Amino acid sequence: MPRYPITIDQETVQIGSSAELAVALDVLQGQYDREVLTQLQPHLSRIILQPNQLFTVMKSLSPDDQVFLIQALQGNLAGIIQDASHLRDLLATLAEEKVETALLQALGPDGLHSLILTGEELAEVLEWVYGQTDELTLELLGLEYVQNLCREAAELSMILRSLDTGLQSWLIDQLGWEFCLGLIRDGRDLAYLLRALPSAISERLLKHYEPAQLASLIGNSRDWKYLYQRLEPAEADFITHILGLKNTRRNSHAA
Amino acid sequence: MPHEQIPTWTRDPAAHGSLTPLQGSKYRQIDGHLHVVNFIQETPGGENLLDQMDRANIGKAVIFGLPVSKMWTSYDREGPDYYLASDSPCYYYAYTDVIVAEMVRALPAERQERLYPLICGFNPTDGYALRHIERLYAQYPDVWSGIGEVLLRHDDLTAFTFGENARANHRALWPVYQFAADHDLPVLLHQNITSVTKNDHPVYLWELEEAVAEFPRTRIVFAHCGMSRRVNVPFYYQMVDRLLAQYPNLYVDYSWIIYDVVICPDGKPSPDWLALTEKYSDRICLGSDLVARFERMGPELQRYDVFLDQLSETARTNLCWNTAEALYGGNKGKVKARPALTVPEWKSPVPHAL
Repeated sequence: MPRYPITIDQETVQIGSSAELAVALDVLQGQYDREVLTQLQPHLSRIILQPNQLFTVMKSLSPDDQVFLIQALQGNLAGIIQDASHLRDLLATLAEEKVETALLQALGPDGLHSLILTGEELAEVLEWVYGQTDELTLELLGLEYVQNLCREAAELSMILRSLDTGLQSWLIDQLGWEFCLGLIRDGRDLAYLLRALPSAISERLLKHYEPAQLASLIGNSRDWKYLYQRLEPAEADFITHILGLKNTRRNSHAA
Repeated sequence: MPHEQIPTWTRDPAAHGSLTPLQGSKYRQIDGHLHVVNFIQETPGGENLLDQMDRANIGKAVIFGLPVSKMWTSYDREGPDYYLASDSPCYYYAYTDVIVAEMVRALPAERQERLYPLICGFNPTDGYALRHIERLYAQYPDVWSGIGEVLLRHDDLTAFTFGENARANHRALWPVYQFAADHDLPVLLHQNITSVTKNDHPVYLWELEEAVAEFPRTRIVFAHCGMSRRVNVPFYYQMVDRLLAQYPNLYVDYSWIIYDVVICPDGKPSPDWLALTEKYSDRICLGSDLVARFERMGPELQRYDVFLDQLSETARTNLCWNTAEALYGGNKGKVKARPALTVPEWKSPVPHAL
């Protein structure tokens, strides 16, 4: 294993692995983190090679030094993180928005494209970023790429569930209703999407259907039951009204 | 099993940061308590271990696996990497001993000599436990230096482990203790002295004492003197002093949190523990109790220096080297090389002439 020297207070040790780096940062009590990273900067990409190694070192650092490390590894980050589940796990452990932002920007569109390959993976990544960082993730991926990830209503619903209401509305507008409606092929697809959306956006979706179209889409009593049981009360009332069905919900509760 | 409660695993911004601890203790040591796999049975390997021992001034190490493995259950989205990383259970994993044996046998002979491997991968509540040990001795006769660390009373880990609660006086261990006595092998036990909330008296100590008393020819090493996370009682050094006085076959190791909690609290050696250590230094070993994180051996063992500095030369050498060497050294091949201890044949005594 190749090792690289660090010198603090005229004392030198050799560091060859992320574990050795982490324990060196610990015994230095956090007082020389930036100094150590700076001395090792040319070699960091040979010390940190895998996701768990990156996590080990990141856990040892303050947010500012985490950003420093991310920028130092920039060109190698996607290769170190390897896949979307590790990106998810890394984001889950980061508590500062500026670090998450730095990580996403360092990965850039190419890095994110190489890591996030399905709608489910995107949803799991979005689960651990918030607000502006959600939006940044989607922007870096690009609208066309996100569209390609959404091959089924279930995938779009998973992505929508990981966003706050404002961003849900924004993403649907960006994707376009035509695209979203095109993913709904039966009652189950409709259930996935309505379940992911708050009632205000659900109503906007349902208004795109004539009652006969909606009845045809749902198609049978089994899918209707599946859909109905997964709706919020306001959504259930609304769709029952559109379909001209008798609302028995209150009676059921009474029973 | 250091994990965040040991000073070397946490940072103190008020303390002076220095790279010195990475070089280990100034006194060359045998690490008397080292797990070479983690709770999911992964190991950095033998070469890495010896490399890190060299970096940390550690001449030899008493090594073993972990008898239980943490499950990655269907409800764990992330795979747990420590027994407390999730609520998932642990189960006995006999292959841990094969991992250790193969790791050792892959090393050149002269490097193998620096390692004292112990057998631990059996269920201590299973009446067939001894068969596992015998099988391992048959398969790897020249590898083993004893038995342990047998995990018995261990707070959360006991609760997480499938099956009956393991304890030092479980009758399934009686044949194991007898085997160890017959072949003059040490048995390293982890047995909490008490439960997590019973901190006013040691509710499980009697279980250990029953085993130690029942097998006076078995050398039993009481890991961490029975202390564990959230497990403590008053009069600790008096208790250890009494045990060592009462049972000549009992040994202890100072490792994990016992050192930081009672032996050297806040980095200041307790005079009582210094006196006890002087008195019984030939029955006390030092260990890191690391779980596969070999790169941390230096800081773990260097933290004992402040205590070792205040001991006599004899006591210090015993703790650092002689006791562990006497316990674990020279045991390889013992089971194969000599028959088990036999009881002298009974002959009816000749009546005395009146």
